[in-house]
Amino acid sequence: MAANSFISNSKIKFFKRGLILLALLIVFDQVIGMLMHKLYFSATSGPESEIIYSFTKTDADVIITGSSKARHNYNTPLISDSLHKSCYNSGQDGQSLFFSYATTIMILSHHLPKMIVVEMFPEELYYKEMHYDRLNVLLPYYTDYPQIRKIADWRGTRNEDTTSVFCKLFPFNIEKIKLLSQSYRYNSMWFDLLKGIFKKQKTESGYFPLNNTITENEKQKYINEFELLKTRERIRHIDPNKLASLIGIINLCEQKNVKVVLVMSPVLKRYSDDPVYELIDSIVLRHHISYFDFTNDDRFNNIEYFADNHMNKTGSIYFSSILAQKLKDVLLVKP
Amino acid sequence: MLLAASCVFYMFFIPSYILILLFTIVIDYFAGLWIENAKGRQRKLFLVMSIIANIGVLAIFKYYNFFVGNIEGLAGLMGWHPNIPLLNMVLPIGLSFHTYQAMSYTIEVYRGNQKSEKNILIYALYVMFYPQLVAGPIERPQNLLHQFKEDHSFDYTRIVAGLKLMLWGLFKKVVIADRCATYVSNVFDYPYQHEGETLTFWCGLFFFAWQIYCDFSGYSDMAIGAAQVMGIKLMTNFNRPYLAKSIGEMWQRWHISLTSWFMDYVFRPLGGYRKGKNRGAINLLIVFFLSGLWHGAAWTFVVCFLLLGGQLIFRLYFKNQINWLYKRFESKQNKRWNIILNTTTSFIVVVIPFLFFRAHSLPDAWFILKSLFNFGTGALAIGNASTFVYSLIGVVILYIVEIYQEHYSKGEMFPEPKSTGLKYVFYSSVIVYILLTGVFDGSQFIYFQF
Repeated sequence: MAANSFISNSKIKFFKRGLILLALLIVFDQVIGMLMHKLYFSATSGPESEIIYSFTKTDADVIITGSSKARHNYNTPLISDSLHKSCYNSGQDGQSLFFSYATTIMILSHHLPKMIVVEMFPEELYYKEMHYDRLNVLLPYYTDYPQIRKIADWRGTRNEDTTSVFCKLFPFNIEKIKLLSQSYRYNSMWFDLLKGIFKKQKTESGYFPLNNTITENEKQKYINEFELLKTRERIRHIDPNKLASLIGIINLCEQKNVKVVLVMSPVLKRYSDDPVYELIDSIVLRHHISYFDFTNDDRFNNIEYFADNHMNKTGSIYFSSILAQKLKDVLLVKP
Repeated sequence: MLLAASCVFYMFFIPSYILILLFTIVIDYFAGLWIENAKGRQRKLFLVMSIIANIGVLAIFKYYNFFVGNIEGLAGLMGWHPNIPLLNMVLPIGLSFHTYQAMSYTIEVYRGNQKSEKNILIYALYVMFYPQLVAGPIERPQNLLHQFKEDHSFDYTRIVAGLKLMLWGLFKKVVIADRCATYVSNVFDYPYQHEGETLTFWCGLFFFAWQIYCDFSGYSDMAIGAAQVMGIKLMTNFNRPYLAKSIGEMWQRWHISLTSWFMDYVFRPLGGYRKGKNRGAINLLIVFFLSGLWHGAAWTFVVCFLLLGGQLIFRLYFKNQINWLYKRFESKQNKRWNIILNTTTSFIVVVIPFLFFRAHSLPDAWFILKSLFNFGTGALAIGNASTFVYSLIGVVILYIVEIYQEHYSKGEMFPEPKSTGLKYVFYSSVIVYILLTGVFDGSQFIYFQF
C-alpha cells in the first residue's frame, strides 16, 4: 500500500514538474523568439538586413536575384547606369533557385519591377541537400508572409533523397513541428545579428565586389575538387523542386507582366556537356523568355576575371557591361 | 511491445533489410541452444558455425566491394583486369553493432558465462533493442538479457536522469558535432584549396576530433538515456575520453563497448600481454587492425587505427622515456598544470591519426598530414565566422560540463543550480539554446554507417 502510494506520488511529481518545465519552456521560447524577431527586423547591416530590404522594401526597376554568383558577378551600379534604371542585387551567398523564387514572390507582392534577372548555373538545378538547409533564411518570414511558406516547407520534405535517419523516422513534414518554436525561426542567426550591430558591411545596391585574383594553380585545384565532389555525390538528379521554382518565377512574372531574364554568368569550370542546358533551352522556348548563357563564353576564359569560383571586380565590370547591353535590348522589346 | 517498436524503427530505413537481422537472430538463437546442450568438439562446431554466419553477413554486405576493389587493384598491377561484379546496395545501418552484439552472445554461451535464451522473442529483442540497435553500445548478454525479463517500475530519479542524459546527448550532437562538421567539411572536402594554411588544418583536425566524439557519444548518451527511461541500464560507452591523462587511459574511456569487445574476444584469447612485450605488441596491432576494418571498408580507417595502435606500442616500449620527458615539464606544486599538460598532449597525439578517419582517400590524408607540419604561411581560414564561433562556444561548454562531471560532480549531469525554481530556468535555457544554435538539417550520425 505504502509502495503504491509512493509510486503514484512520484508519478504525480514527475508530471507536475514536467508540465511546469514545459510551461516555462514555452514562455522562454516565446520571449526569446520575440527578442530575436525585434533584433532581426531592426538589422541595419549584414545578410539579414539585405534580405529584409529585398523582401519588403526594394522598389528598384531591375532586380537581380540568385546565389553568391549574383552577389559578386553583377555590378549593380554599372548595370543601373547603363540602363538608366534603378537596380538592386538580392543575391545571397549559399543560396539557390529556392531563394530566387522566394525573393520574386516577396518583391512582386509589394512592387512591380520592370525586369527580374535570375542568375543560375548548371549545377544549381541538381539536388543538393545544402540548398534545403539554407532555406532557414526564410523562417523569420514564416508567420507574417504566408506566400513563401510553401518554399520554407520544402526544408522538411526531402525524405526520399536524404540520408538522414531522422528524416526517415519522421516521414511527415517535421519542419512544421519545429516551427512551433519561435526561437527556432532564428536558428543560427544570433551571432550574425549581433555582429551586424557592431560591424557594418556595406554593399553597392546588393553588389559585393571581390578584389583578389585567382592563380592558374588555384583554378586547377577548384576544377579538380569540383569534379571529385561530383563523383562523391550519393544522389545526382535534377531536383523537381528547383525546376518548380524556376517555372514558378517565370509564371509569376508572366502573370504580373514583369520581364524575366535567365542568365548563366561566366564560370571557372566549363559545363559544355551538361544535360541541364537542354532542359533550360526547352523551358526558354516554351515560355518565350530571354536567356543568356555565358558559361562557355571564351571572352571570360581568363583567370584575371576570377577571384575564386566567382568573378572579381574586374571580371564583374566586364561581364556586367556586356550583360547591360543585352538587358537594354530586352527592355526595349514590347511585351 | 519493445520488439515490435524495434522492428518498426529498423524498417523505417530499408524494410527488407530486416531479413538480414532475422537471419542472424535465428542462427544465433539456435546456435546458443545447441552450444549449451552439446558436448566436446560439437560445442566449438556450433560456435564456429554461428561466427561464420555473422562474419559472412558482414563480409557480404560490408566488405565485399572493398575486397573486390582490392583484388582488382592487385590483379591490375599484374596486368590482369578481371571484371568482378560489385554489389550495388546501401549498407544496412548499424550492421557491425548488432552483428558484434550477436556474436558476443554465442561466445558467452560457449564460455559458460551466459545461459542460452529459450525465448526467441527475448533473444531477438537483445539484438534489436532499438535505442542501441544502430550505433551501440555493443552490449553483453550478461548485462542486457535478464533486464528484459524484469519488471521496471516507475522510478522518478531514474527517469529524470535518463532524460537529462538524452538532453546532453542531443546538445552534443546538434550544437557541437553538427556545427563543427561544417568547418571540418570545408577543410577535409577541399584540402588542396587550403594549401599552406597550417592553422586551418590543425583547426579542422581539432574540430573533427570534437565532432566525432560528440556525434558518437551524443548518440550513445541518447540511447543510454532512452533505455534508462524504460528501465533498462546499458553500459557506459564513453567516459570523457578527452580528459584522459594518457593515450592508454583514453582507450579505456573511448567507445568502451567496442574496445572491451576486442579485449575480451580477440586480445586476451590471443594471449594479451601474457606472452611478453613483443607478442603483446603484435596482439595490439591485430586488435587495432580489426578495429579499423570494423569502422569501415576502406584503407583510411585501417591506417588510422594502425597508427593509433602504433602509438600504444610505442608507449609500451618507451614508457620510461615518456615518463621522464613528462617529469621535465611537470610541476611539483601545481597539480592542475600537470593535468592540463597530460590531457592536452594526449589529446593532440591521439587526434593526429584521426585525419585518416575523415580524409576521403590516402593521398588526401597524406597531403593533410604534411600540411599540419608545413609551417609555411601558418594562415588560419575562419570561413563562416558564425559557424566558427558557435563551434567554439559549443566546445567550451563541452569542456566545462565534462570537467565538472570529472572533478566536481556528486552524480549530477550538469553544474545546475540547487534551487528547484532555478533548475527549471536552467533546463529551459538549455533547450532554447539548442533551438537557437543547434543544427537541424538532415545530418546523419557518423557511426550509423558502421
